Amino acid sequence: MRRLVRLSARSAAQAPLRFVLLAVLIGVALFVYLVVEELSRLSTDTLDEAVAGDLGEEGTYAVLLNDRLGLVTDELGRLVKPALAGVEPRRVEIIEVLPAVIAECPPFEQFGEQQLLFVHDAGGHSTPLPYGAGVPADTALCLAGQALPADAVLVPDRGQQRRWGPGLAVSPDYRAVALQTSHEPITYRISVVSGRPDPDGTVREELQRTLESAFQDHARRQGVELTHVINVVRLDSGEDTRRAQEGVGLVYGVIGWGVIALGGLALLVTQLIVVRDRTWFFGLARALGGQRRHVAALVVLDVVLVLVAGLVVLGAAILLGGPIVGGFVRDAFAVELALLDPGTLARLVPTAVVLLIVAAGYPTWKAVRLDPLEVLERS
Amino acid sequence: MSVVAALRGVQVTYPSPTGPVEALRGVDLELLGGTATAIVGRSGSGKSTLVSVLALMRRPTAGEVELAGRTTTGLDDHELARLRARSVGIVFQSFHLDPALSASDNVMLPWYLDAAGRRRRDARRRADQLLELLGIPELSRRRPTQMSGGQRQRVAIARALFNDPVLFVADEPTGNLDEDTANEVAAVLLGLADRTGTTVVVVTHDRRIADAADRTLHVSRGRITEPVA
Repeated sequence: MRRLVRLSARSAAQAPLRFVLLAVLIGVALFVYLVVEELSRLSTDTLDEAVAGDLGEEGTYAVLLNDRLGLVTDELGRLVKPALAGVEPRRVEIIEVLPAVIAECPPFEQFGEQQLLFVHDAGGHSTPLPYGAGVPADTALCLAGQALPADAVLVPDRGQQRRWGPGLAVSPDYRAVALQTSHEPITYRISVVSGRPDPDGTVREELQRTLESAFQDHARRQGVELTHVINVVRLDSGEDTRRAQEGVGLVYGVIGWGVIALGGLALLVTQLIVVRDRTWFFGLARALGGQRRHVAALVVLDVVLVLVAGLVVLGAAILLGGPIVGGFVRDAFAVELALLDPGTLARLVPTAVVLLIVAAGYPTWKAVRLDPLEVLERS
Repeated sequence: MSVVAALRGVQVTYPSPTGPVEALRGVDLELLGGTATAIVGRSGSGKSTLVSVLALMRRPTAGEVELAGRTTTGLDDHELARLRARSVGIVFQSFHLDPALSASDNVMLPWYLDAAGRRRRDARRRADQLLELLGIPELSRRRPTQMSGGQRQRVAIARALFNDPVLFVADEPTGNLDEDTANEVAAVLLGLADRTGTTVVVVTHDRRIADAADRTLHVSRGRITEPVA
């Protein structure tokens, strides 16, 4: 193989301008592909976040319980966890909601009246949360006349608010203190995230049916009418927005792969011309005892050399053009491009393979089918 | 002298729009080692087809080809190509030299296509020896575009000799050369049998080459019809 590589390199050196132009073309195509991929990733992440904030995670449901059921956290955990196992939810949270109080020490400037929330997993155990997040530095918290450290309270972000409802999440260490703030009854809310699209509401209906069945014995004992036990409400109604988001991703994909396809097409056309121009050489190689695989290797190596040179051009483009494009994107969209992101760079390998197949496949097939004698007689 | 190549009852038929064309009609031929044979005949008589079969570049429609003691019937493309690489040297009317390569690299082309074989240094030495044998050692580094027609054909001859073939075939090798150069190249070709011991077969229209060969065969309508005196 080393001998053939040497031979190919010498052939490439015969037409340096063609080789350099092709390498630049491929390098620029790969650079544009990387930029588009990175923009696509950034926009998808940003959109994901925005959509999740506005609409909730895909497949998010609130399970509203009848207050007269009289269930407490442990009992709920025992009923809910096995009942939802068949739905395979991504996340289940049982939220214990204490009546609204003013949780802030005077002068009460930040939060006003807030419900206090205790968040549990599907089994009824406290969920570890990043307590302290979102609490303004100049705010002190007081419950039942007791000052709380800042890291005992979490101000929920938009997604959490959507799942848990309004309120401040309080560390379970301070549950006893929180219970002293009011004598109003505690209510419960269950949040279920399936992570799956539910365009026709099938998952919602299944949740409703499954939970009704799980709660029916308890409801009967409490004298609650079965149809009023629970109500599963969908929180993420936003199929159109999600579809639009997918559409944006698709457009980026089409642009990225379109650029690669154009680069591959240019390389393909050039290779077809090269094969035509070097037909005599392939015939000669066969006449001198070369096998079909030698001819195939010569065509493929020609493309591989261009690709390798194209990658060198890409490296130069990232070093020289990356800061310029990055600056433009930063000014225009306030996001940071990471062209050397390992994930994006890893995608270059299959992209280069696709380019190789596109550009070398047909010319190689044409070259190996040549009848050496016919070729030499013709030339 | 032993028989290096033999054709027995070789027929070659081509399809054509007007029906099958019989290019060779039952040719029998034996070539002895170290001899120079000229093949003459009119255009379309079957000379080039005859040498392409001898050079293992074309399979006969019928009959048998033997080269270096090996019957080629039943060999697949891979085996045939390998036998051709090791046993046959070919020179064409067009020189078919790669303009990207120096004379020395052009001579080494069979080495580039052979994964096994010599080491690079030995291959380079062999190429330089052959260029010296053909009287053009000073052209080793030069590209074909910097050479005359005669010099290019000598490089092509050196390339054909690179693997020490038992059979050297040249199809109208002086057709693209002026008279003086053609004489020089003809002398080189016919001298190869004596100098290298290889069996030389030259297809030619040139009467002088035919006269100088050990043996001259006349091909007409796909048959070897008569020895030319």
